[in-house]
Amino acid sequence: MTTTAQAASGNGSVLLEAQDLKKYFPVTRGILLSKVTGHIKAVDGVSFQLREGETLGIVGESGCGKTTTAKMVLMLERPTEGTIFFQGDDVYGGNEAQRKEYRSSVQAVFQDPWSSLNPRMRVKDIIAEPMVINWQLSRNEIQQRVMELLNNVGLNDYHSNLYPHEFSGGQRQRLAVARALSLNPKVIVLDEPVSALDVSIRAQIMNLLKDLQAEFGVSYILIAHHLATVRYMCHWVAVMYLGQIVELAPVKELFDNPLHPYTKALMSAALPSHPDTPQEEMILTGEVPSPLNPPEGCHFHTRCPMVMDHCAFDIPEVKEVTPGHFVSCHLY
Amino acid sequence: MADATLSAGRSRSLLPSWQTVSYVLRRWPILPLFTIFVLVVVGLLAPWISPHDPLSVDLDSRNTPPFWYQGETATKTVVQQVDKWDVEARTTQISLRDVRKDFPDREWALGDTAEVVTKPGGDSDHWLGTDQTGRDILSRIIHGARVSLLVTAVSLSSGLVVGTVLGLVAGYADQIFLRFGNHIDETIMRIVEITYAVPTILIALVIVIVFGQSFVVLLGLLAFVAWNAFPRNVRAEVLSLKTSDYVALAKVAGAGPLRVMFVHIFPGVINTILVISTLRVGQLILTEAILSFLGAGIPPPKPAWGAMVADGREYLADAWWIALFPGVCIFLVVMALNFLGDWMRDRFDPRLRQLE
Repeated sequence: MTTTAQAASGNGSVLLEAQDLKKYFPVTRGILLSKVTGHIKAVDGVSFQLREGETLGIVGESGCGKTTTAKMVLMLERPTEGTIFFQGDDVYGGNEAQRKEYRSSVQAVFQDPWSSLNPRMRVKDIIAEPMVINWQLSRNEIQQRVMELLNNVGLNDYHSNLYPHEFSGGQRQRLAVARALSLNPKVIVLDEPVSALDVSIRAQIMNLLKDLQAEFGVSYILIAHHLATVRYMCHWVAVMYLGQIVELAPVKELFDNPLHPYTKALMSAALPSHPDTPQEEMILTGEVPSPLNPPEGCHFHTRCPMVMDHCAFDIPEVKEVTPGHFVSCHLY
Repeated sequence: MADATLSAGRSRSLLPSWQTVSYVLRRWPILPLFTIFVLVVVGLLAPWISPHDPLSVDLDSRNTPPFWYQGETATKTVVQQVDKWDVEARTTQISLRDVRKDFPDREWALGDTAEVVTKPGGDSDHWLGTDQTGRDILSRIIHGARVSLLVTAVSLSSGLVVGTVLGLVAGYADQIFLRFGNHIDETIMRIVEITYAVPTILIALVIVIVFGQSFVVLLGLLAFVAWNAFPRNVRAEVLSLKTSDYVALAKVAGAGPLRVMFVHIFPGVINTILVISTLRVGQLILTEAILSFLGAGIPPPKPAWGAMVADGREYLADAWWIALFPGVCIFLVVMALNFLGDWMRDRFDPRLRQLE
């Protein structure tokens, strides 16, 4: 949605660009001769850009398509339509070698540090696995690099012989980060990396991620639903609702001047840092409509407090309201 | 008095309390493990530890009871001819001809009294007695353990390999064969379901009638019984593991389907395989016994527990030990394996592991 304009307003060069990504999951009926009766539109036309050394946050409530977007970036799901450009190349158009190159440049850290590490492997094997698969290195070189990575994430050499269950949640998330860093990736997809952690550990992991970004110049795509995390970590924020990005802006601009009614509602639902801080109350009514059958027109019109007549049939276009601030709403 | 309290106190400190013993027994599968250990040791060492040849027939000492069994004697008066139809006479009189045959070393006359053995007692040569042809039951049980072990080992290992491979393929087919994966999965699982519906014992009897009773046929039948528990459980485990986060991360790291399968998924199903195997061994021993009992199992002269129970069935009223002891062995071993399997299932369940 924002290709050229967003590029113009940033500093770094564009590393990864998603263009009109769509992912529809078929809903089938019947056992033997199953028939496709509909599609769940998990992601319905999402575009964004990620620049070198920056963090793009994707926020939205459960089921809005954040994780599916992440999976498409990680090539775990194939987009139904649209594509991803990495350093100018279409990642789905290239040959096997290019795809392998892309895969080793994009790594991930998942939400649950208890299920994202194989419980039957030692830490050194977990961290070494991406290198074993992608690089031809001697045992010694790998060993050395594992130690280096452990030190990078604040763990010690002796941890390498332990099993994941011997670590706490925060330490496990550090291990996951070490593994993600092992191939010197350019992009790391962080799928709610701190939401499973204790509040006291969260800050540590977020600081670690920021330090690593400063040190290695890696870009992050941060999936989150906790707005404070996003505000602290990100340079850009995309707000998703029902498979679409409704607002995209630099982090300061978005938090200071949210435009889309859904963004405003999200902001008002977050707790203020001080209980006496006056806050605009904006409570949405009703449930998120089913992605199987999303509303006509603006997807948000069924719950929007500022709904107008033509919202029900007119699909809003993306508008750049102020430089770098994109919103798709009929109000602007 | 002082002595009594002192010794009571000492015994409490030296011996574990009943609560401790029962706790340990409930917590750890000591009794099942002990039973299975005995079975394996006895089976492996059978030729060296069995007191008699399990096949040697001795009609003179047939139906000897177990060693603790007291014989019965009665004082009988020697008469010319015992009236067969008179119950009273039969218990108190013995004919001159019989008494001369039983005690040839002295002279007998009418009206003498003789101490006659009416029921033979046990003797320490045959600890668990002998069967209807005078074969030593203890030796036959020991050799029967060997046969059971051999049969289950062969049929279980073949069933385990086939079943596990099919389960892995069914669960992971959509990742390897892509579009056809679903059909492969469906086909394998439908075949497994068909085998569940097959009445094994009936089919076994038919096959034995057609091919004759032989060791190879029995092994084939038992392997058929053994394999079908594996695919379903292994597949279920694979289905849950292949959507786990660490498998997704392995794919992100560039791991191919074979690496994911052998490095990440297979180690996760080993526990399941162990548990099913343990539970299946009990079932196989039982099936082998049932088939032998029905005369479709191990060919006759070889001692098999099931066949021994079948042999002893006709003599239950007079010589219950022929059927009872092998029956008890089957019961103990199958129970032990079931308890051990249950324990392992609970132990390996990761949801329960956290609760320790």
